[in-house]
Amino acid sequence: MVNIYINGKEVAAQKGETILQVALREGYDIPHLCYHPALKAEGNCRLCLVEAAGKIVTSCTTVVKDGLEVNLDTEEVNRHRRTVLEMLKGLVPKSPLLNELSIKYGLEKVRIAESEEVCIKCGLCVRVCSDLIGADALTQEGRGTETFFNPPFGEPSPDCVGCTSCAFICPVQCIKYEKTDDTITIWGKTMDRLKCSNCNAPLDLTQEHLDLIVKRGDNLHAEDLMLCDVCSRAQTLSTMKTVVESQLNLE
Amino acid sequence: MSSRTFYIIPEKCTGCRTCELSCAYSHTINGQPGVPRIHAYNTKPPMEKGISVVCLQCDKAACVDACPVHALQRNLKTGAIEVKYDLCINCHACFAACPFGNILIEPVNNRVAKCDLCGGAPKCVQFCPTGALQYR
Repeated sequence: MVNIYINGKEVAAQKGETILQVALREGYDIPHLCYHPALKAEGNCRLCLVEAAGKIVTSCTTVVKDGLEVNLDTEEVNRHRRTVLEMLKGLVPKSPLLNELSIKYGLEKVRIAESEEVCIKCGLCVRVCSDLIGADALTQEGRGTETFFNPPFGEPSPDCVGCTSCAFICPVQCIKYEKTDDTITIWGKTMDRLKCSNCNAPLDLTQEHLDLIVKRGDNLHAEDLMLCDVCSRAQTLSTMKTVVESQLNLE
Repeated sequence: MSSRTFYIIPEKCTGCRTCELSCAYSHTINGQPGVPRIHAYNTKPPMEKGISVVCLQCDKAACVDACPVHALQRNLKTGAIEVKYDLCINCHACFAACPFGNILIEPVNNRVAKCDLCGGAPKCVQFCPTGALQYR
């Protein structure tokens, strides 16, 4: 255990925790876009800046030390945040989240040319796909300001399972997908949705995603996944009925 | 592990679906009722008139195994498996994996929903008019 001071208040923290983790747990507000608790912090969006021991640092990657003094809302921190926000807004002018943050931190006008693409280059989509889902269907291409995220070579990836987690996790919602009753289309790849083996209703699942899920545990069986929730409940109900009836008959 | 268990007593159930209503209204999102985590079905005698299907909080749960981020965690106080929404990446693997159909999708925001035993005081139990649902 170590103790740090956030805005002058003493706060207990675990060894190895980052400033952002401690501050969020204690209920402090630090704006952040590319941090996700299930992923290793990379400090890509630069928005979570705070002042620690007199220096401006990204709070998501700075590990706490005993007696560390952290200031979250000094004028200097807010000035840096405004600059970062201004550049992010140049990349994604219409993001509701960035607009909200601009109002909060007093960013009035964006001096850089508005970009045509809509991506803040935080890399969450690539990390969620490779580190969490385990599909590894996305890569980072280009460098610096030219960075972009894509399936390898810009072609529909054979590894994409259509889970749409990348679209969900994108902080500025720039990844679009389309779901019809029969298909899911994302990153230029169209996949067939599986149908319930009993009632033929479309499932929220593709064959590729099913194969991936089944590998995660011994008690996951493809035939269970192939049933929709309504048919699964009907099956549960009939099992429960059988049990109850046999018990009532015994009495 | 919790010493209390959720009981469904079909001999007392009238299939009135009050449990579904109380569940939907105790899991509201932006003022809208949530998807009910419990479902009441009509049955014929020898059961009274109905039976409720709700999450069994399995010891070796398929949803927990299927989750790639360990967002489904057991609350040791209540025994319920709860969704940690700050970890969840909305891949719907748990929804597909549950063999009993007790993980649901919230139509309002497309997030997964499951019975959390209301943190230890299930609303369906409080509102069940015949005592067919018990948590003791």
